[in-house]
Amino acid sequence: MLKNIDNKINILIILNLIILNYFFFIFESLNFFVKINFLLFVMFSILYLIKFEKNKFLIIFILFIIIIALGTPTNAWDARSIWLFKAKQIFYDQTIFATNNNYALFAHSNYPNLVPAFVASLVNVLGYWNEIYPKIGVTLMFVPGIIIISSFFDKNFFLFFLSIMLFIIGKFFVNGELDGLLSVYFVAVILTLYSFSKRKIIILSEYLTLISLLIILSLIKVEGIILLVSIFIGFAMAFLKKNNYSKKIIICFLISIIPFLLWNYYCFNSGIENNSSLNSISIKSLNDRFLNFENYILIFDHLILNDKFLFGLIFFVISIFCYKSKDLLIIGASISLLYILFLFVIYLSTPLNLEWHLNSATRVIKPIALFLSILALFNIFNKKYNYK
Amino acid sequence: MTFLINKKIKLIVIIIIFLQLFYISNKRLDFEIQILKKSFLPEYGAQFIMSNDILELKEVSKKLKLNEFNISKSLRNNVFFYQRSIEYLYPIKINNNLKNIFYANSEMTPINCIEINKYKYLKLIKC
Repeated sequence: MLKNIDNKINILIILNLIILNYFFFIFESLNFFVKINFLLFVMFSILYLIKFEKNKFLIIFILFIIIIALGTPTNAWDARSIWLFKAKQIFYDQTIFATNNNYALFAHSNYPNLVPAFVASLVNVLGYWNEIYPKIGVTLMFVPGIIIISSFFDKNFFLFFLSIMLFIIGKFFVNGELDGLLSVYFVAVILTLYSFSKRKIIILSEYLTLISLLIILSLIKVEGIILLVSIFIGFAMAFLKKNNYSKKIIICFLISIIPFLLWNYYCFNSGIENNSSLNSISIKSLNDRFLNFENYILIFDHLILNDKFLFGLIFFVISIFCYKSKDLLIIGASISLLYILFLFVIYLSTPLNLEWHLNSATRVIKPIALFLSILALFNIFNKKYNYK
Repeated sequence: MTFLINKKIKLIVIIIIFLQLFYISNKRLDFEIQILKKSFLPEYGAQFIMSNDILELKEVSKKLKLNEFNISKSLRNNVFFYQRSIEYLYPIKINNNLKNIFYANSEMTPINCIEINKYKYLKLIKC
């Protein structure tokens, strides 16, 4: 019977198992379901990959990145200090609220716990912690995102997609940090929304898939909500006036930010703090830096003169030039510019030393680098082979 | 259509993907077969990440069945030691008010404090 499940329903189930897992860690009485939930995630993922006939290579690819994750020490700073530490806290205390007692401020108690909760559910299945295997929980969370993106490509283009993704995300597939994961879900949302804009009939399960993707995107990292807002504005500029279903998409966006708002409301009400305001905005710093042109050059140097971002940008420009697509140009340009503008504001207003804070620039620009590259590939594939 | 299904292109891209995977695992990360083989052993892997003093701190804390631990100001100012010890020792939690404090052997024992025990890298002081 399971084999007969439609692919779209299957992916919807997989995405919702990730969200449900989070829900089960909110209420301690539901902890029992965490293990079952994780095993169901694995089962439905395998089921999908087996049925995923056009891109069999994906199974090999996923196996390889899991093997690499299992064969490397977990030594990335943020992975240890934030994400896997949160997962460890959730595993030992069996609740996502374990991370919110202001214990160890460096772990940024107010950051979303969706991914750590997923990692904790993997550790729950095995029943013990070690310093190597828990990070494959992060790697496994890539699976639904990659499945969704790869469904937009075929044959050799699918292989190009994997290669580009490896080039841009690289070690972030396996090192326990979340910037790669954020990038993949960001691109998955955009391609899903773009496919909506090209069709007249969209069924309920597809809207639910979009909501699930948006919820996950907003709860991976704090940048997720900014990417979500950028997507919303970017698509509004390209399509809002053209389509009669735009109201439904707005509703999808509104529903999907509810978990993010609830989480932040809870943090605000509980006095949950953040270490050294790493992601906060200081008006004083903004005032001090705003008129100093050197700061813009410094940010530009770290953020824009990044090899992966430049690759994405050049590839995107060439693809738009060769295979003209006004919609994709508007989407690509508006979303990228909005997000980059946001990053400029964040860096200009950081209360920390700007040069030190800019060490994160190569990570935070990854979503846009991947987005532009995949959009360029999609544009070529779409124009040459008329993707439907 | 030929580009889409061209077998030579397919083969080349697959080789590139494997080269990328090889590059990531060996050049960008420190992949080791030994780690892979033992990756599911309980408590495994800390020796590749933690310094000896942190490993000792956990070992001693477990041996003494501590629920909480405290470290000297100097160790707390060492960001690596501070963050790694907190996340590695969890669920044993740091408590700055504890009278029993771990110092590095290289640190002077404060006046009015008694050395309870000395280990290879650390010493336990009661203040």
